[in-house]
Amino acid sequence: MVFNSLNFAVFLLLVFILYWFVFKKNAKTQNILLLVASIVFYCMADWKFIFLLAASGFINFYLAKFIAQKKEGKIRSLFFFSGIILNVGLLLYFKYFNFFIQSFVTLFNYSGAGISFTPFHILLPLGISFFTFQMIGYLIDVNNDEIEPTGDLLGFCTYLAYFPKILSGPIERVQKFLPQIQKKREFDYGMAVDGLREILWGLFKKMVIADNCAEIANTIFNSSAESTLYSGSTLVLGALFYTIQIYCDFSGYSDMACGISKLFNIRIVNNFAFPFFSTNIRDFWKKWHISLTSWMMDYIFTPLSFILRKYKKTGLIISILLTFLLVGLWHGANWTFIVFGLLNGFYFIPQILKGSMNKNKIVVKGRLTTSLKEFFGMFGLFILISLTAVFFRAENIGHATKYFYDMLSGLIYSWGYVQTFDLILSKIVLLGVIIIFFIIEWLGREQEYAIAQLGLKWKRPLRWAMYFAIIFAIIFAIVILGGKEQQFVYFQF
Amino acid sequence: MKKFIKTIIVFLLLGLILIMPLPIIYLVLDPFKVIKTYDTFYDPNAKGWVFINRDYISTTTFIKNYKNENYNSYILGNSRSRFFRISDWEKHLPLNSKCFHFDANGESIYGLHKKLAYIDKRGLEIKNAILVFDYGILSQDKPRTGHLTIISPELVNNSNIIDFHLTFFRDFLTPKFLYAFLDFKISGVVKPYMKEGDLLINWYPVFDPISNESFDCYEWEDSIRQNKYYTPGRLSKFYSRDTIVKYSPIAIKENQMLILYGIYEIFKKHKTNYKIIISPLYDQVKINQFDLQFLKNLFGENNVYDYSGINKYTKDYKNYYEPAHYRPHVAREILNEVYGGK
Amino acid sequence: MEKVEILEKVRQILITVLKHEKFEMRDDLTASDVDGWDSLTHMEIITEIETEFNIKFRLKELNKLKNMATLIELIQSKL
Repeated sequence: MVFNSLNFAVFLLLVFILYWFVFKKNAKTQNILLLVASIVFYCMADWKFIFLLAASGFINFYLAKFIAQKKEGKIRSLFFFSGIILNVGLLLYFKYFNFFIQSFVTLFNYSGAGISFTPFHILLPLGISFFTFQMIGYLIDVNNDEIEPTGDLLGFCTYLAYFPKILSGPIERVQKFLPQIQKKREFDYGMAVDGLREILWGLFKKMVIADNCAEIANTIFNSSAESTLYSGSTLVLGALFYTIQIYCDFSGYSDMACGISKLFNIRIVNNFAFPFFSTNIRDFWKKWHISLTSWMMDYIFTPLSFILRKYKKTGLIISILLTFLLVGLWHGANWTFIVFGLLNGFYFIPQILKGSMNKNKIVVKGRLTTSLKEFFGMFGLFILISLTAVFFRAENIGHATKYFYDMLSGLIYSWGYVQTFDLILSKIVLLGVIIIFFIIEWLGREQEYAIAQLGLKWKRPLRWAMYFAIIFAIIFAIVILGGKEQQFVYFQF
Repeated sequence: MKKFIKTIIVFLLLGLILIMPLPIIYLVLDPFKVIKTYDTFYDPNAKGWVFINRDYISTTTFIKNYKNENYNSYILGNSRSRFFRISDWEKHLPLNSKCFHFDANGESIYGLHKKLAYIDKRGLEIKNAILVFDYGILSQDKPRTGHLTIISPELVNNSNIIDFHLTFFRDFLTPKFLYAFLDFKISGVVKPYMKEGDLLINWYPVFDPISNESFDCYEWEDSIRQNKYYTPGRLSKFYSRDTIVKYSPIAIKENQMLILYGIYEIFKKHKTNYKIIISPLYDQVKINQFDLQFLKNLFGENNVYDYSGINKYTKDYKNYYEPAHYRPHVAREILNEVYGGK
Repeated sequence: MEKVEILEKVRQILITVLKHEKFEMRDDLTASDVDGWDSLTHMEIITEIETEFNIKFRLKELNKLKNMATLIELIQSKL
């Protein structure tokens, strides 16, 4: 069930009513409902692996208790490393088994051996990248005596399976989440309304901007794999539109997850903080997919850079490269993701060497416009990220390199992609919407999400007019996209 | 909480009121004529029309008449099949043949099979049949989308009824259509931009209410006889072709095979006298030999006729109204050849 | 070594690594209060402290650090 579907809306309404009207007695009953709802949610998405999820919850819960019970020593380490191997092993098997074997086989075959390998038909449990990371982080924190393992099995399982975040994150930390659900949640009007506004904004990002950008990016990328249909400038546009697409898609989804959770008076961590308003790569990664980056920094980069600290800047560079290699690999079992990660890691090197730091966490805090330097900084960063996004999108390395080659060798200004008048019109409208979107984001960049404060001080009619405008834009986008297919199809005969 | 619920309810009610006009306008106007039943789909007195889903016209005409008319001979295919005239076909059929044009725009092998299955379920005989194929039909094993090509709900046991009506409503709302439609309603004139994508048309689609045969070609044939048809505008559409023989990719994959088996089973059951004709398309792309061989193996060498590629029909542009449709005399000659033995 | 001395040395290290002085050496000072003090610079700072005071940290100890006060305490415990 995706968030932007009718099925989910019905599901959410049901859970909301049950949560606040039926299971409202105490924290325990509320959690039971959330857990059951989350299990139902997961089963509707992928029932085959619900037992895996449950097993993961139980095993990690008890492992953590065993670890904390023992003093430092062999047995404790045994429990700890078993837990890590179990979780990592799970991830490696389901997600990366075929990839690793295939890569070895390819490597072997370079030496002339003619081995062939038929990938195993391994189904991927939904959300596995997210929940295994949550468990690994939990075990590490318990092992480091940073947190006490919880004795609340119900709470722990609710935390693990929590439906707003189970499929696409954020990667929530136990210590931030559990305390919230161990108290009885009282309905909060302000928070619920805030949640609805955040959901609306997330829906807008996803359906109006991301899906429309996806249409353009898909056309350009899909054809570029086999042939060279488009000019270099169109390919550049393809990369830019794709970057906007993944930002709006993922941050929109994260906004919805956050907003949905607020309806239950539970806060989950914000995954994005306007990353494209950063002027350097460090800032960017502190604001993009925050829960993943901070997980990687806490559990990979920090220990790694600590071990390598005697190599000073070189140590830092190696640590960053390895960390980002993992960031890339986490996204998928493909060399393209590894290159994506490494490239981003390389982008850090100048900053590490120069030792410069960000002067302001929020760009141009308090002021309305940027200086020319800051603006070009943001624009340059956007271009840099778009370049790595080509690898993210490409189906394989060959596709990516062909894309770059075609992009550089054909940099003429032609609009070959855009054919009929109404296509041009819809692209211009889309561009206009994107510009307005970025202006709204800019104005709201000091908030949790762009429209967090927008209109709160207005009179109700005006504020509601804004809501209806956004809703109509969403409906409009669905209608426009829906009618597109027909046009293509009919022209075939 | 009470405040929250009250606010939400008021908001939703307000939204409903704001949105209401559009569905109401749609239901009242019924531009695509899929909500109410009509005696005629196209009003002969009008100056322009919304292009109606041909599958829907064919299906509703069939349902309206089959009990009385006892059809037993069918011509199926996409818009190209319309130019196989019943008067030409009847010459090759036994005397008691009652013919029906069961065509659809953008027909798919999926839709074609559904039509035959529908006829079969109604307990009617399928004594004679012509299937007019091309790569487009053969490769399309799934129903098409969009208001011009979506399949009628009756043919699929009403399983797509919601999708069907939502498609029309949604296509009604697309700015391009809505604007064109309102403009036409107000001005009464079909302007050139409205014809793009066949949303509105200014030529009157005549068809027989019983046989569902289209007669619009009469006007065009007249025009050709008077040397008025092939205007520079129309001529410019006839692109030049290569002399190298080109083959289309394989259309018949696993799914398509299953559907074709299904069609064969129906023909076997009814002991149908059928002919399969691969259209002589202007693009001169020959059907993939694998596809042709499959069809011949399944339906019989004597029942499958391939007119695709470079031949006397496809060479001359005058055999076509425009690159997508060949003229009735081509179909007539093909019928003569195909039934030649008799 | 006196706490004041430790504080001053640490302050100097922060200034060297972070290249600015926009912070006060309060007990409750944390990395998030200081511009530029993040995971990247943190390791540099830690390394400089180890060199300066001739001590060696353990990763577990670093993970438990909450603010400037706990850092100073940790340094003191190793001297």
